[in-house]
Amino acid sequence: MRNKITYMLLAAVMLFSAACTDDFERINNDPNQGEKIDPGLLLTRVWMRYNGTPHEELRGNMIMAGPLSGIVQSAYRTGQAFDGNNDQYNEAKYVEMYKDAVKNGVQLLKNLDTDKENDNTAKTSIANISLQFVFQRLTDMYGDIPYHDAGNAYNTGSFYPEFDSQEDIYKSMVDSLKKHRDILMETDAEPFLPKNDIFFGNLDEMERNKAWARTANSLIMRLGMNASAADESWARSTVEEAANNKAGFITSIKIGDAFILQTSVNGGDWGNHINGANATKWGHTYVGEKWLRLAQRNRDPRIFYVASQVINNSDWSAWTGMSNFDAFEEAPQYGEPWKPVTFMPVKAGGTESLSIRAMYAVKGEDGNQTKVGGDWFVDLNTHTADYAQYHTLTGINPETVGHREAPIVVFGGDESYYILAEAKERGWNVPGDVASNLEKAMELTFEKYPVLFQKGSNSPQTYLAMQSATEGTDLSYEGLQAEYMDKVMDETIDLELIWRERWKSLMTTFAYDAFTLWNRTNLSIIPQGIPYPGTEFTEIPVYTAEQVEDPAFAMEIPTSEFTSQPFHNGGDTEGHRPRRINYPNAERTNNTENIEAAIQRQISEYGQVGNGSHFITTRMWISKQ
Amino acid sequence: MRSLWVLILVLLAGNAFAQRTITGRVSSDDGEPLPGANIMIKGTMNGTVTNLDGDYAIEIEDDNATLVFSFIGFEAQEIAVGSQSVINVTLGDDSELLEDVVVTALGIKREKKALGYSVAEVGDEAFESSKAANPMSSLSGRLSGVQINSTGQGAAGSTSVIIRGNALADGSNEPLYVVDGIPISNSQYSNADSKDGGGIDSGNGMSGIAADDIENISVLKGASATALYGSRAINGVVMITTKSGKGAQGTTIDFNSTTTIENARIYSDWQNVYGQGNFGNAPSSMQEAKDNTGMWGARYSDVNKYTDYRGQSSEYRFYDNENNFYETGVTTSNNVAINHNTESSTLRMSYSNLQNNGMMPNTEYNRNTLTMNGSTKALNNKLELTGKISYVNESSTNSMIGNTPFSANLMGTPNNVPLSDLRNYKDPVTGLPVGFGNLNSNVYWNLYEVSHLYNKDRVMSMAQAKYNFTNDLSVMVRYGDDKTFFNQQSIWPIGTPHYQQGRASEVRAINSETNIDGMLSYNKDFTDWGFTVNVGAARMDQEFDERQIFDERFSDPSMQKPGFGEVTTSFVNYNRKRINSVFSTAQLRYKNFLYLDVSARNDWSSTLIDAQPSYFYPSLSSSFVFTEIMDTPDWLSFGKLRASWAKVGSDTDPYRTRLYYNIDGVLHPGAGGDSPSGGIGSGTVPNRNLKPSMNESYEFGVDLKFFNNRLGLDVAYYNSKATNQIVRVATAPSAGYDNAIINAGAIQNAGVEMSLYADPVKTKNFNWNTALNYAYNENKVLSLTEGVNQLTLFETNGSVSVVARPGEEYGQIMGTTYRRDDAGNILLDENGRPMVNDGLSVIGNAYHKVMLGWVNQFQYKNWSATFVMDAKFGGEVYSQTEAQAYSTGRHQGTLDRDGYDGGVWYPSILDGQGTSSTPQEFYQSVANIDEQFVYDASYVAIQEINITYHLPSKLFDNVNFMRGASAGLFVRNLGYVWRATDNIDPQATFSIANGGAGVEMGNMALPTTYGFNLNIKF
Repeated sequence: MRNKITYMLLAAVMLFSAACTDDFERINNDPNQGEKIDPGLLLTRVWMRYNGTPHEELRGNMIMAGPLSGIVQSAYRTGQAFDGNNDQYNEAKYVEMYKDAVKNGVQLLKNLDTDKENDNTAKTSIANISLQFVFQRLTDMYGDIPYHDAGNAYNTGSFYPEFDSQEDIYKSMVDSLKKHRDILMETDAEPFLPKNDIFFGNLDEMERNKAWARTANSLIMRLGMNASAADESWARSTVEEAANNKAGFITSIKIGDAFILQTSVNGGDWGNHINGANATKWGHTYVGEKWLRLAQRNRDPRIFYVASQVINNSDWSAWTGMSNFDAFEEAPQYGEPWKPVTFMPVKAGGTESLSIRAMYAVKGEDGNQTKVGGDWFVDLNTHTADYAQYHTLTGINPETVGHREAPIVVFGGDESYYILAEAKERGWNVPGDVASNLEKAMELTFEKYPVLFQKGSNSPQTYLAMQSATEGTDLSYEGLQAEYMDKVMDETIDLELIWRERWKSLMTTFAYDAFTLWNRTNLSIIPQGIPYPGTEFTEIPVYTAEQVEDPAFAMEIPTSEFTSQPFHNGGDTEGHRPRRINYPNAERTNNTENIEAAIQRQISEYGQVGNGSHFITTRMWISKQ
Repeated sequence: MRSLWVLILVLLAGNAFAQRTITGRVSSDDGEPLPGANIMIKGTMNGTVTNLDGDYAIEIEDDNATLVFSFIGFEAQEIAVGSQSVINVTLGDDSELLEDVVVTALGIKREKKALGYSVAEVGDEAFESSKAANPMSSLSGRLSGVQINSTGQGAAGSTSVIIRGNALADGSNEPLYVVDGIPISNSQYSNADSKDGGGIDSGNGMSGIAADDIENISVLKGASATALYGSRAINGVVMITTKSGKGAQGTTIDFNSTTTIENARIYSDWQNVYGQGNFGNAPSSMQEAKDNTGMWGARYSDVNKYTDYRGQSSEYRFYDNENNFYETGVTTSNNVAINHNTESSTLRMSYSNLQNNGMMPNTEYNRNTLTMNGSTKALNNKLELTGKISYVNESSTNSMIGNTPFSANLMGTPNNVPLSDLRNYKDPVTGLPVGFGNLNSNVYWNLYEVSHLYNKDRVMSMAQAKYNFTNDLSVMVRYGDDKTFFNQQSIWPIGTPHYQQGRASEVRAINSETNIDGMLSYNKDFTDWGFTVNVGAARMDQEFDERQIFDERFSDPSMQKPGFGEVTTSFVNYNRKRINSVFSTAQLRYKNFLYLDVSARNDWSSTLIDAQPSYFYPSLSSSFVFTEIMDTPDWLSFGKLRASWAKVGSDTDPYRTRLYYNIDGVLHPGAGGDSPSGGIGSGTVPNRNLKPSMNESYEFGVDLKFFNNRLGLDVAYYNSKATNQIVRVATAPSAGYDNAIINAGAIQNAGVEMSLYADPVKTKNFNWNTALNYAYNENKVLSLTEGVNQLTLFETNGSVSVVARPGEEYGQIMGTTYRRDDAGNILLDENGRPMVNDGLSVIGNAYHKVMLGWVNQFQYKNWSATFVMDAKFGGEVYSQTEAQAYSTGRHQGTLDRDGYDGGVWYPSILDGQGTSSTPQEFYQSVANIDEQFVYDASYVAIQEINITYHLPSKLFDNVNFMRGASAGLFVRNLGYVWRATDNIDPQATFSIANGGAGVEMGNMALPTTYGFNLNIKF
């Protein structure tokens, strides 16, 4: 009996120790994921996350960077209210870029490096160039950030990367771009497959390498010029080297030639493929007041593509049902009597909903005043068309620039020439002269609209026709463009003018670059702040109901009675325009020492505007003092 | 599955091998018959039990047989049969022998006094008279050191059970549930954590078990008690023994019916002075009403009419919507059990149905449970076969909590909009929602148009065969399987706020867990000492396979169903793991006062195959009954000291050791054609070198009984330290990941548990026994790892999160705080609004340190009654509801605005400091300061009162179809004797996830349940 037991025991133990890890390899392999991936798929991923989904684009681009640069406005007041503590808006772009674009980009480089079977020279360079675009966006928004050690948690175990100075980042980016530009000019190694190269997949193999070299060189020009206020001699040598480099620079706005990201609704409204800034066909974004008024004063024909009163007819579209139309008739300023116009801008403001769209107040028989603000979009269920045409705010046209399938111009030819114009104006050694560069830049900017932003929409033509009818003359985009350019070229060309035109050209989908432009130039059309105290309240006219019941188009309704409306509360900066977006809480909480060091370093080195009551008043390296 | 049916057939067949029958009656010395007393033929495994009248019949093979009569609490008697054919026995009460037998790990039955660790037990009395849909929630206050939290979901909700604090920094801290010796799955398919659109709490493992089927529950707390269950028992084990039908011979039927009504408890008490509006003005146009839904308008007393969200002129007055919204919930639960017993076999079949109509309109939950179990003996009683199969079906309509839930939505409804207006939630022409705000939010739209349905089919089966070679040697093999088919469908129709284009989600999941184990046992008794050795092996397989299809933007309003969206996305979630184990235990006993247990176990886990799949862990425990060998005073009836030490190893979740990539199926347009994209599949940095984690603990205890067991005290001190934990530490976003899996850190739990119990009154007609449970747990995160500041346990969609930080307690609540000067005054900005500190600070802790429970049972003649109270102290909760109430001006705290006349005013929050900010801006800024909304979550509550009348057994003497009956009334969650929160229920948990207890986000309060219970035995 005892033997039997021993035998059984032994048998059981033997059975188990032999079988104890049997099959574990198979069991512990996730059948729905892979341990290997084609590097081309990762490259596409990096670019898709550079674009971003509506979540982070709405927050980072439309709510924060857009209103901060003045180029667009949002119904969410956080950005323009100079509010620095709204973490969900602060963190969105940062977190998305690092946790996806940077992470996958870094892994792509690592995988290419590990793979010794193939000649990955060209691919490595293309991946590197892509990553520099990602980091440029990050540092331009947030200043000092982790660069050298970022996104590397898996490969190096660096869970809490150190912050690098923006100066180091800029110079390292340029070094890296130069190196890979030069490699791509020489190498005959294969680039990524055409389908994985969403920018230049239409070109032959060696042309693809050259196109990426050209792109790298263009980015060097952008980065160099961005440093104009921070380190002018480095900026100059960088721009001069690139502008004269045989790699060339981007000179057109054509897909497959310029650096343009296409979009589609594949993957849905919240997918990776649409123009991130324009969720659900329209990002609820409004034309920046300054941009609109400048366009109106200068009879800028881009207004027909950019501005519209938006209506939701099963989908967001540009409303054309107004009985009176004059795109160039400017709305009154705050403190002036009201007049009905087509394009009423959303104003900068910060207190509450009405502060950015108040028009007038109506005095009731009981003496009570009802304040009337512009509607966010046309609502014909509640209002008549006659009312709506004067009471709807000016949105970005959801059929053109504001379409979720609008292409994203990451780097267009117009930008190259604006940079060259500015460089020449500064007396640097670059090709062309100031005027020809500026003219070329503006031509390309104007060309973008009909070529890139008219996906099956007739609304620009309709608006133009309505304008022609109003003016009683046959207007054309080209004709107005020529008049506009003549007017600009007749002005005294200086840096301010070049900056202003470049700023206007950025009315596409990325407002980030417009913010960077302002931050390094303090270009005067976007003031460095609002008078504070002094703008807490604004005046709006008061009328009786009869006075505003049937107003005459574009005719001011006189009144001497005004009422006070809360306007801007100074935000966290005492009215100073923030120089940056605040760091996300997730980084502050988990990378405390490094971030604290970076904060203190930037405060002491670059200083703060005003009395520096909030970190977002801290300048970056690229900021103009 | 087929083998199971064969087993059941065998069970039904029963058997008999007999020569001669002895009959008789067993009674106590006061003449009452003893049902269920044991009669064994000495030296064999053969035996029987008495029926309800105390009668028995047993077949013996020859006259030399000796019968052993025993019953718990009575002195056993041995009687030689000789030529007798009728043997009536009277058993004497023996308090010395009142040594409860408890079920310990792996189903091994042990005398309680032999245990070197503490086991807490609850018999069916906890379930008999006061039924809760999730049996675990009946146990609040009844077990020391066991913290029970329910989500406010009602019948279908999950219940979280934390034993002796949280041991694991990361991963589930829920115990292992073992039903009749077989571990079951405790999966929660869907919880309320989903930050995008609110989640559905679909219940967890225990929500499917009918309370009527439970015989008793014992909770194994320390590592020594649970070491044999291995990794998964690191948080303790809840062992459930279901009713086997053992008892009276022949066929009997038990019928039990319970009806409860649930009344919502409303704690919100909002201000009724100011109405909807902006900066002191009531809305004067439809757009204004839509833009300004906060209660920042005029005083109700100053304005009679305003223009509402429909553009109509309406009365400007306060409506108490919160108190008028909820309906009375009704739950009916019926259970029928048929028991059939022969001498050698038992069989029980039971059917339970639970039907719940929720307190919120249009919510339902339904559960059907069918169980069959039985056991038989064969092969000369050497073979014992046991089998069980249960089928549970649960279905739910619209049960939902979380951040888009009905309560939160009601929160957003201005108080001057009456529910009667909101009931017309749908535009008859467009079919779109009509409601307040720019999105037309309406709580009734969410209840009647948005739908959340789920259905769970669950089959639990087990089979066990035990062969007794001799009295001392036996072998057992056991198989158990728990499989659930879950499907859920949610539809947000076109027009639903936030999802105006409509969306639908459909989830199908199969979850299964299979356990097989076998054990060889050898037992030997000598005169003064004896030992038992068990050697065994086990295998566990877990598999989870989930597919989710998500549709957005319905193409056409006439077909708003899954599959008809313009865009369809699908997700796959699969994981599988296996643990193989070998184990051995030995018990050594000397006389009847010294006991020593040792155990050893080695596990191999598939999840750790890349580094160290094998891990070993031992345990040691000892019990010393000093009253057996020492002269002790008469008043000390029993005294025992116990001590134990154990290690338990633990693995991790599947696929955490390797970097995986996913490919996104949709194509991206490119200049060279359409391109797919792919990327790293997870936000967690994998770790190929992951090693098992270890939890080491020791425990000392003393168990004393006084005055002939009328008074008892059980005290335990424990200290457990989990080291080398497998945790997901939060990484900096700039590192590219959310977190990283590492072996790091140590968490220590140390605490004291005390149970004081007494029978203050014990007479023939009236008995009162009372027990007071006290538990104190101190938790400390000793370390994480170099450079790691914290581990995120739970995140809200705001700035509040719950974390573990080195050197601090587990479950710290982090949030924003006021910026203050050195004197502690709140700093104001130029606008007079409070300033916020950058970053986040610790503002509270999610876990209570002290728990108290007080259970009283009374018996008077045929009446019995129970009264249970419990209390918890030392934890905090952040309330998003309260913050929102400040932001929207409905909180009474915002009534300070009375003092504002355009100049400086003095809100009480500022403690004497003045501000020139408008009240609306001021309180909206306050709403962002999380510190303001952390509340002490301590409370003292009345958990349960019940009273039951048992019909006198004499009534049934002449009724041959009925054996007994009882009827009772009960109330659960009667209310708080004391609490520190203003407008929320400190007990209602938002989520049972780690740290979830520290956050309240529009939770429903736990309802008060009134019930009636009828129990009839045929």
